[in-house]
Amino acid sequence: MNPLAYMPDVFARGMPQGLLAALWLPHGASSFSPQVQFLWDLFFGIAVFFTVLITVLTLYFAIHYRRRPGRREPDPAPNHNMPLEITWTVIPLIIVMVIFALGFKYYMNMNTPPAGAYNIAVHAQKWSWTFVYPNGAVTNKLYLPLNKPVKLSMTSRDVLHGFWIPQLSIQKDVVPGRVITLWVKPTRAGRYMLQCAEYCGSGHSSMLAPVIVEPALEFNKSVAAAADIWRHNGKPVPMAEVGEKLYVTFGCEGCHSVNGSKGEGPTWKNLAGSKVTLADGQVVTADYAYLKQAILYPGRKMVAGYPNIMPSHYSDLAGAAHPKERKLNALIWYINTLSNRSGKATRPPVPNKPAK
Amino acid sequence: MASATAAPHVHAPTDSPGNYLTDKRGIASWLFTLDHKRLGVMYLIVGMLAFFVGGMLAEVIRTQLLVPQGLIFNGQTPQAAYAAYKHYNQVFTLHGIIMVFMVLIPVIPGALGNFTVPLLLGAKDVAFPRLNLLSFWLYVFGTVLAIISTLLGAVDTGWTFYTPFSIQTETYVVVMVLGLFLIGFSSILTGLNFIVSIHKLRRPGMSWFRLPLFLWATYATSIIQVAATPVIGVTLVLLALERIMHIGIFNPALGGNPLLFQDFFWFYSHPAVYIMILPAMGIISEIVPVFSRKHIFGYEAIALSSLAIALIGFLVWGHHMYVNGQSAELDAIFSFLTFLVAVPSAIKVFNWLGTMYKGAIVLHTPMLYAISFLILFTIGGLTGVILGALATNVVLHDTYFVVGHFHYVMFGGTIIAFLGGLHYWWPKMFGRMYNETLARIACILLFIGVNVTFFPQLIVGAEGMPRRYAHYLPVYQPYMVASSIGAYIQLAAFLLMAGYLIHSLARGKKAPVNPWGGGSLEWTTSSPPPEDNFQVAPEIGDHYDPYDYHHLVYDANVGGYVHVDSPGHDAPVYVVGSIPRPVAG
Repeated sequence: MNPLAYMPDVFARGMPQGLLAALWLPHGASSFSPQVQFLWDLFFGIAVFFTVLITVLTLYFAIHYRRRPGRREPDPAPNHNMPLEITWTVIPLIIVMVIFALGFKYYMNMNTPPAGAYNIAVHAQKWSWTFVYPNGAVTNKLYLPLNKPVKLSMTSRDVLHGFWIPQLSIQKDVVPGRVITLWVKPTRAGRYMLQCAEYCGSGHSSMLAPVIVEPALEFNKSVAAAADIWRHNGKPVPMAEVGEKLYVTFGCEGCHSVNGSKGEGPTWKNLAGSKVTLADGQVVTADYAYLKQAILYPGRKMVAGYPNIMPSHYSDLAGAAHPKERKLNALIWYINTLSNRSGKATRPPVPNKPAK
Repeated sequence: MASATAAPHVHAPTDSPGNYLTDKRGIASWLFTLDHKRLGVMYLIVGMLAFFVGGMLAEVIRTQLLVPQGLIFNGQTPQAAYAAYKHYNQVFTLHGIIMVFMVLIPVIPGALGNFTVPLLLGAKDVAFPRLNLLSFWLYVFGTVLAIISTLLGAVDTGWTFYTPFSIQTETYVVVMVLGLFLIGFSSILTGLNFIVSIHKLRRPGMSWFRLPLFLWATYATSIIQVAATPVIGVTLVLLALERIMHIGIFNPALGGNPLLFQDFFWFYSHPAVYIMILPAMGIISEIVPVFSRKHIFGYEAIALSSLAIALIGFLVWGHHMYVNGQSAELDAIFSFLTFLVAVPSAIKVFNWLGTMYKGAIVLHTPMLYAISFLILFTIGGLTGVILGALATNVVLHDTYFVVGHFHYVMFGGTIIAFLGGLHYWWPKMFGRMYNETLARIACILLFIGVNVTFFPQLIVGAEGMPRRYAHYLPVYQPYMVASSIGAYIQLAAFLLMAGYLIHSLARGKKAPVNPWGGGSLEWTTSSPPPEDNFQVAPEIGDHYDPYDYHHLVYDANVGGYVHVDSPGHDAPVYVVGSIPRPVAG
C-alpha cells in the first residue's frame, strides 16, 4: 500500500484552517484532547505573552535609549536591585511550577488505563504496523470503537518505533523486548493517520497506518470481517498470506524471525529445504513432513542449540476439528515463501491459492 | 565621571607592539603553535568549514522537503523510494552530527574562548599551552575520522545514534563514533585548560567577582565539559563494542536495554546543550553592557545563574525520554527539574533587559546580534517550557515543534551569539574592521531568515508532522515551503557575511585598540595583540570593574575609545581600572 494514496478525511475538515488557527493543535478526537488542548492554550498563551513582552521591551529600549546627538551618556541607574531581582526570579518560578503541576496531573490520567478496556495488540516492524484484535483479526488499519476505552499493548519486532496519532493526542515509543501499554478513548468518529514518530530507518516516513474510529456497531462489523483470515477486504487471499497472519496471531514471531536474525527459535528465512542439525546429531532436510511435525509436536525433534520451549498449537491446526489442516498448510506455505530452497518436497500438498 | 575637557590619553603603548598573526612565519609556525590566539584562529577556520558543510546539508534537506514526495530523494516503487530515503537520512544525520559535535560544542570555547580567555584574564596564555595544541589536533583528527566514515558509508542513525537501530545499520557507525570520541577528548582537555587558567592565571587583584561574565560562563561550561563528556565517550565505546563484539548491553536481542543507551546518551547530550548555550550567554553578557554604555545589571545573579544552569543541567536528561518508555514517575521527576533549570535562564534575560534600560545604546553589529539573540532565545526557551510539561510533550514529542524549538535555541541562541561575539572580537583577532553597513544588513537578513525557517516548523509540528521524514503528507506542504524559503534567506545572509569578512581581512580599515569602548583587559592591548598578549602586564587597580565605562571616551582621531583620567582622582593612566567606580553606578 502506498500510504500517501490514502488521504484521511480528517485533513479535509479536522485540520485547523486559516492563519490564526494554524497555531492551534489539530482538532482533537479523544478524551485526552480537551485536556491537552486546554493546557496548550494556556501554555501557548503564557509563551506568547512573555515573547511579546520581552520582544517589545528589547526593541523599545533599543530605540528609545539609542545613543544619538543629545544622548551621549546613559542615565544613572542602579547596577542591581534586590527586590526587583527577587521578583523576577519568584514569578517565573511560580509560573513554571503551575505548568509542571498541570502537565503532570493530566499526564498521569494518560498513563492509567481504566479497567475493562478493549484490548488491541500493536506490532511495529520496519516499516509497517500490524494490529491484532481479541477475536484474532489481524489488520494493517487500526480500527477503534467510538467512546470506548481501548488499551493498546505494543511490541516491536526490530528497532524503536513511535506510535503517534496527532488527533487522538497519544504518543508512545514502541521498544523492542518490552510490552508498552497505552490507552485511548476516541470521542469523534473519523479517519486519522498513525505516523511513526521515532526514527527507524529508510522507510520511517512511509511507516503510516490509517486509523478508523467508528461507532460500536460498525466497528464490530469491521473487526469481524477482518477476523476472517481467509479473506482480505472480502476477497479470498493465497495460503501464504494467511500463513503470515497466523505467524502473528499464534505468536510465532516472538521467537522465529523471518529476516535471518537470531531468536529464541531458528529463523524461518531459508528454512524450508535447508539441512537442519538436530540435538542428537542427526542431520535432516526441512521438508513438508519435517515442518509439519516441528509445528505440531515441538518437543519431538529438537534443533541443536535451541531450548525446548515452544508451545504446541496442535488443537488449533490439526486433529478432528481441522480435517483439511488448512491453517497448518497456510503456515507452511508462508515458510516456503521465505526460503530460496523451497521445492516440491517442502511445499504443502495444496496449491498456494485461496483456500476452498 | 569622565569630563569632555580631560585630555585623552592613548592607552596602548606607542612603540611597535608586535602582531601574533605575522610575527612568526611559515606553515609549521601555525600547525605547531602554542599561542592560544593562533589556536583560536585555527579552531575558527576548521569550525567555519564544518559550519559551511553542515549548512549546505541543511539546504539539501530544505530543498528535498519543498514537495511532499521529496524533490531530490524519491522513487516510484517502495524499494527505490526506500533506497533514496536512506540518502536523505544520511544527509540529516550528518547535518546533526556536524552541527552539534563539530560546530556548536567546540566553536565558542575553541575559537572565541581560546582567543579571549587569557586576554580577559590578563594572562600570557592558557595554563597548559601544549595540551591546548593537543586538544585542537584531537578535534581535527576526530573530524577526519568522521569524514572517512562518511566516505566509506555515511551513517544514517540520526545524530542521536539510538539503539538498536545504530547496532543494526550497515553504515560505518564505529568509525564515526571513534571520531566523536576524539572530539570528546578535545572538549574535555579544553575545559580542563580553562578551569585551571581561570583558577590560577587571574592577574593579582582580579577577584572572582571582577571576572568578565564571559569567563564565568566559560568556567561553568568547562565544568560540564570535564564532568559530562567522559560519559558520552564511554557510551560511544560501548556502542562500538556492541557492534563489533556483541556484548549485549544495548541490544534487546541479546538481553540488552536500548533505553539504557538513551539514558547514557542524554546524560551527556543534555548538559551538552548547556555547553552550547552558556558561552553564548557569556558573549551576550559582554556585548550588551558595552553597547549600552552602562554597567551590567545584576552581575552576581548572571554569574551564579551560569553555575546553577550547569549543575541543574545535569539532572534533566530524562526530559528527552518522556514517551520513550521510562516510568511515569521518572517522567514527573525530570519534568520538575526541567522547570527549575528554566528559571536561571529567565533571570539572565531580565538582567540583560535591565542593562539596556536607560542605557545609551549603540546599534553596531554586535549589539544587533545581541538583540536578535534576546528575541530568538526567548522563543526557543518558552517553546521549551511547553515541551517540558508532560501532557503537552505527548502531542509534540518527536514532531517538527521540537525541531523548531531546538533550532531557535541552537541557531537563534548559540550561533547568533557566536556571530555577535565574532563581530565583537573580530577587530581584536585580525586587527581590521569590517564594513558596518553590510554587517548590519547581513544580521537583519539572518534574523528574518531564522524566523521564516523555524517558526513554520513550530506550527507544522503542533499540527502533528513528525521529524526526520523524507516525505510527508501534502497537508503540511505550505509550512515546509515557507521553512525552505527561510533557509535560502539564511544562505544569502551567510554569503554576504563571508564576502565582507574576507574583504575585511584583505582590505579592512585598521582596527584601533578599543573600537567599541569595552572595559575588559583585551581592549587595552593592541589589535591584533602581540604574541605575549600584553606589552606591559596589566595591573588591576583597587577599583577595577570590567563593566565600568566612565573612563573611556570616543576619540575620532583614533577611531576608537581611549582611556582618560577622571578629574579629582589621583589615578595613573597606564594602570587599568584605576578610576574609582562612580557613585551612580
